[in-house]
Amino acid sequence: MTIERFLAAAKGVVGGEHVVADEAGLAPFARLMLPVPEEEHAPVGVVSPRSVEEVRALLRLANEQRVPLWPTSTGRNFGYGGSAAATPGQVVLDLRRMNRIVDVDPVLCTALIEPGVTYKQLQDHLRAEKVPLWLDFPAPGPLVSPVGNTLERGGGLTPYGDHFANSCGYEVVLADGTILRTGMGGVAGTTSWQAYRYGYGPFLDGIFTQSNFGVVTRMGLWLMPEPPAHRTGLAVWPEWGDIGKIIDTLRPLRLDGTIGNFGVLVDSTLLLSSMMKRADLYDGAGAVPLDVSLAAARKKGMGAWHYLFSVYGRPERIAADWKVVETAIEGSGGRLIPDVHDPMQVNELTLQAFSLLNWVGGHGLAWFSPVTPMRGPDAARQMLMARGIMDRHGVDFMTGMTLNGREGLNVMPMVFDRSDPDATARHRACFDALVDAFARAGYGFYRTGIGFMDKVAGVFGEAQSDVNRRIKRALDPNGIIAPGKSGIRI
Amino acid sequence: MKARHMVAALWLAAAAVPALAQSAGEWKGPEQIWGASCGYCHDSGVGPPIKGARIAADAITAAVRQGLPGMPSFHPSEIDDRELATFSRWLSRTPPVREAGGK
Repeated sequence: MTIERFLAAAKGVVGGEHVVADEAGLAPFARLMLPVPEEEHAPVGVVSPRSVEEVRALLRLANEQRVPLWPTSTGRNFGYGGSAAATPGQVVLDLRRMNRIVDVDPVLCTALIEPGVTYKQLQDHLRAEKVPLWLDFPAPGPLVSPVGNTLERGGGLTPYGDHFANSCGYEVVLADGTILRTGMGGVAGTTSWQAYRYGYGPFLDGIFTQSNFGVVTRMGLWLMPEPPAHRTGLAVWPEWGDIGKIIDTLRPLRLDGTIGNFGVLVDSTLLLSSMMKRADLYDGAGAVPLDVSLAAARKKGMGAWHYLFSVYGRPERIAADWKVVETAIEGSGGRLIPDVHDPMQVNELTLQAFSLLNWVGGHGLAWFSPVTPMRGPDAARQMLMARGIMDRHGVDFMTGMTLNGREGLNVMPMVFDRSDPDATARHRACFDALVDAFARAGYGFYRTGIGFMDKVAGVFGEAQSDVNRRIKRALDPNGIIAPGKSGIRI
Repeated sequence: MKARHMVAALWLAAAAVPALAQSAGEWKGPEQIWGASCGYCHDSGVGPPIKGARIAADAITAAVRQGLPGMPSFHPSEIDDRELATFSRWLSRTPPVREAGGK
């Protein structure tokens, strides 16, 4: 059996204590929040290297034995797959032990780190060194890694919220053991690896994100200088039908930089999930009805839509920008609650967003994440479509949409009790129906979880699939790195 | 030139200082593990308060390794078996957190 041979040889590379092959040890790596069966994605082993040399040795063994490796950083892709793989029978290449902070440059405001470094570790380091740089992190911030989240093209809520756009220079080990340093990293004795993204010729960083073309072992990050001041506000609009007007009001403020960060636009039910359990809101059949959700939100002084955003900079700029934002929000029928606190917008690590898992209990979670062009009618159409489909499946509608100037990421958490087979089946069917309906309407998705990767890849057309397959065959002819990731195989 | 040297020195100083490493075998003790992971949920109301709950050490170890509904698992590459055993003993014996007394 090749897997057994691979794992035995891997012990010689990383040490026996850094290989997991027993059933009890593997169970947590198979754990899923998604509404898909664990056995369709369960890893058959875990190897945890400490160095690039060990990664290369493991890739060599994997090629010899034709064993697929599924690289993870911390393995906490919550609601997208955790540590589990796109297909069964893969060995997790767990990079958590590779946690060197290779460089922090306080002059150019950059860092170079390995995949096992968490946001918490990096923040502790910056604070200990008194380097006044901020991090931008996703919802599971303290527990996860900048490398993993950036490779998934995840996001956060400060002006550096587009993590891929703020990454610069990767070290990648290819399936044949080649070490590729992208961009300026190719220059001998490079002085500018983390300073300039593009290097010379084709810009390759992107092909190593949401992909399986190599194993990223180092990544450069740009970090935000601590701003002299900031102010966070919560804008509230009363009616569900206000959504189009809201997007058309906020788009210009994002495009011209008045609102400097993505912020997050939250519906009434997602807002309520941070304050109460579902059972305290609604005990009827089916999804939480809109009128029930709105009535409960209004009772708490909230409304149908809530935009939590910040302005950053020198105090005089903040004062001027704040006035512009306030006028625009009030002009659109909203009201602005000043000086609220959102830890994620001001460099404070938190896991508060995961109170979401207390909504029904049972740790079922899947993110349905279409991209919204920042036009009012498109946002309104997406919300209506999603709510209609979710209602039919008895799934609660919630969204927390991050707003850029031209696009929003309409991130809808689907929360359910995964110990309830009926609820799990309904959420899976609902996810499939949502993908189909949104694709038919010309919308695509920014990211998706294992179990839905082939389907979502299909939405992006045969030419993209074919080019990805050709790159995969060229770089990894045996298909040993993460087969099935984003629907890509040899 | 002087300014350039200063900049280089700053850069080197930051790079030379070892990281506050937080993987298996690198934790300074249970308090650091609590502060870097558990506390974000169990001190904030996202998860139940478990300090002072006198949970058996074995049950803590099992929950940390395997996870629970709503709680992630913590792999051996993050906290090794010895660190986890020490952590679980420590947590099972922590005194209850008093409401008015802070964390």
